Amino acid sequence: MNKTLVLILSVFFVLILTDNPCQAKRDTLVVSLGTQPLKLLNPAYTTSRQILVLYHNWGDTLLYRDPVQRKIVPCLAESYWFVDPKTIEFKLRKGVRFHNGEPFDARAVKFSLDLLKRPGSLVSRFLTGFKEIDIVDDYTIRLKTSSPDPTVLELITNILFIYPPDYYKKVGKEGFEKHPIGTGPYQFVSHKNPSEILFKVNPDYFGGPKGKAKIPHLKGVIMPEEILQMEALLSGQADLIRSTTFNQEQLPFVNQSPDLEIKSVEIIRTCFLSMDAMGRSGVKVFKDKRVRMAVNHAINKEKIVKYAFNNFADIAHSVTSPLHFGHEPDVMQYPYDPAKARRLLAEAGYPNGFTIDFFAAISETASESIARDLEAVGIKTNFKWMGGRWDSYYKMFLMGKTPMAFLTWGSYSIFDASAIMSPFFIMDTEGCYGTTPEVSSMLEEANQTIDQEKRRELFSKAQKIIAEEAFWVPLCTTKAISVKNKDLNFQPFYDEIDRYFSASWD
Amino acid sequence: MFKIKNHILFFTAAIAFIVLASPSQGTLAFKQDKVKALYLYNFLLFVEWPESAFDEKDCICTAILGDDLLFEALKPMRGKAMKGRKMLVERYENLKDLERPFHVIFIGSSMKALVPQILDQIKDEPVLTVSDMERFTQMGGMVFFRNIGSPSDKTGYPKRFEINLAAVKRAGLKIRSRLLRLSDIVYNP
Repeated sequence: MNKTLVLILSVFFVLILTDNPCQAKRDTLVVSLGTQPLKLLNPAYTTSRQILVLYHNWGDTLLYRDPVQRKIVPCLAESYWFVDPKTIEFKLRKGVRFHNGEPFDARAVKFSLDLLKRPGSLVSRFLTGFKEIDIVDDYTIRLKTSSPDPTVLELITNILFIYPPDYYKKVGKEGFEKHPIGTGPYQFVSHKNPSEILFKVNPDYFGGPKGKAKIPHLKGVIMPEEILQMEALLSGQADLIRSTTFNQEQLPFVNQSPDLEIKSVEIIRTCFLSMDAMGRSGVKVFKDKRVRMAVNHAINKEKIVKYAFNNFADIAHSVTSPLHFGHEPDVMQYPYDPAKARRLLAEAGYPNGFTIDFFAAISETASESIARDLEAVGIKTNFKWMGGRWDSYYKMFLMGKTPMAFLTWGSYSIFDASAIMSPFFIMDTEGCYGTTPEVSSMLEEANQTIDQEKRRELFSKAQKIIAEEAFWVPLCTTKAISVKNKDLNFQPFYDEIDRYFSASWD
Repeated sequence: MFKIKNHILFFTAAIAFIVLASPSQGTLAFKQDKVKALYLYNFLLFVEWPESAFDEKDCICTAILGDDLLFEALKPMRGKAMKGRKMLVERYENLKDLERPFHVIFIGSSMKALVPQILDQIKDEPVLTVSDMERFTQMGGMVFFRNIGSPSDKTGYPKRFEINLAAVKRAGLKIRSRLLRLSDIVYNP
């Protein structure tokens, strides 16, 4: 009888332990990752920031950005040196294994670069200058670029994702996307549905500059609407809202909530309105520079920054952020002037305005504000809201189907003007809806020289022309805001990569 | 004897753990009120009133009738800026004390008997009527907080509100799409 009683009580006790919310809280960090369902758990095939962030928690790269010192340090590499301006030699860290036990070595690095350069990879366009990797021995590689690449270390740090070759070959792309494997501080456990993903601490993690994860489990949840993120936080169902997915309109409410805390930091993210100056979408109206200038004058950026971003953003005039190397602030500006916008439209042959399809997937309030401003000068919009469907939205954009689109770009956390200018202003790139041959060739030249003064000059000239041509409406640069349970120690960083492995409880 | 003591100790520890570690009903209720306050705040943000709904004081006013906990949860927002206006939140115990103009009225369940009278008094005025009482929209109210705080299930997140769009339109109000997406729409006269 006594044995039975002890058994029942033991089971009872264990059940309480495993199902208790307080216990679960200390064991698990629950992060509301955003509104886009988690489908492609492969950072090479999506531009979704949430996957990039998760990758840097489950995976590593040869180099790592120390967010406190703001410098790049070795991670999966032990050391590196430039053999010549086009060759870097890396000594790789020994004894590192992927989560499935597969060893990390030179073969894995070579395999990864080949994979990332394949057609279909969305990072391949950044790696075109990465010519090849020579394997010197199991733990030494030489990376060769076709020309001196000024952003090579940034690219290696942020997007040279390291894949396990044997596992990837065995399960294929689809298999990997269902169960990603890396070397990082957290390891994948399950992906119950597109709304929830679970990781556990990697007990064998080598540490390195990231250090071991402090909270045993990491759970990422997806909420279909931004307001639900706040509900989850207030009701204790989530501990943290991922940086930049938080809707700033909720800030006054958060400020009055004693259980919550806000952390913010300036980041590189830029918000802008793209207009189809090339007529790719079949809409010709934006081929006329006067129309593009009219749109620039029609939009009240100050109001957007104040109300949609609650002043956690700065008005932008140039296409780059002040954090990009090569940022040029002294460009042509288009003050808010609806009367001038109407005049320009009339001059362009649209005295009664026109109607345009307007696509957006971020900041609904800012998008609505833009639509209202345009309507005030006679441009009616068919507002196509694609919130929570960033991948589909961006794919449509790349396919040339969006005559006018509100976009945000975090530059893959590469602090160089090329990271935002090359994908959108080099002729024939998928994201280009307007450029000039001069701008395009200047950007190509900037990508192939390591003379930083020369590059700065090229970026500056290109930004001035882009502003004069009014290809975009640069709206603002935003700040990363993390809203969290006040008992959680967590800091967002300037590269917009949330390091959940560094989070801890008070 | 030693074994029995062990069992008692074990049993006591288990009970103590349950008592200490489980969130109290009070905590849960408080969280529920915070969430209700959050949604009320969002209705203030994402509902558009006609300009005629505002007087020279240019305040946006919320009246809370019969829900003291919700009032306490929303009280810290008093005096804050809301779309360029000052936010006011007031608690009322009687219908006759209500001061005009107000833009949102939340009617707590304890006031159920007064609902027809309240709705009649503000009929077709630009006032958003909100409640967490069952059948509120059938009674002619505009917004029923139905599944506030419910976690997701296999089919996703349950809709948070029921919105009587006919009543909303009659009052000259517009509810933005982000709230409508969280709602089941009903058209009750």
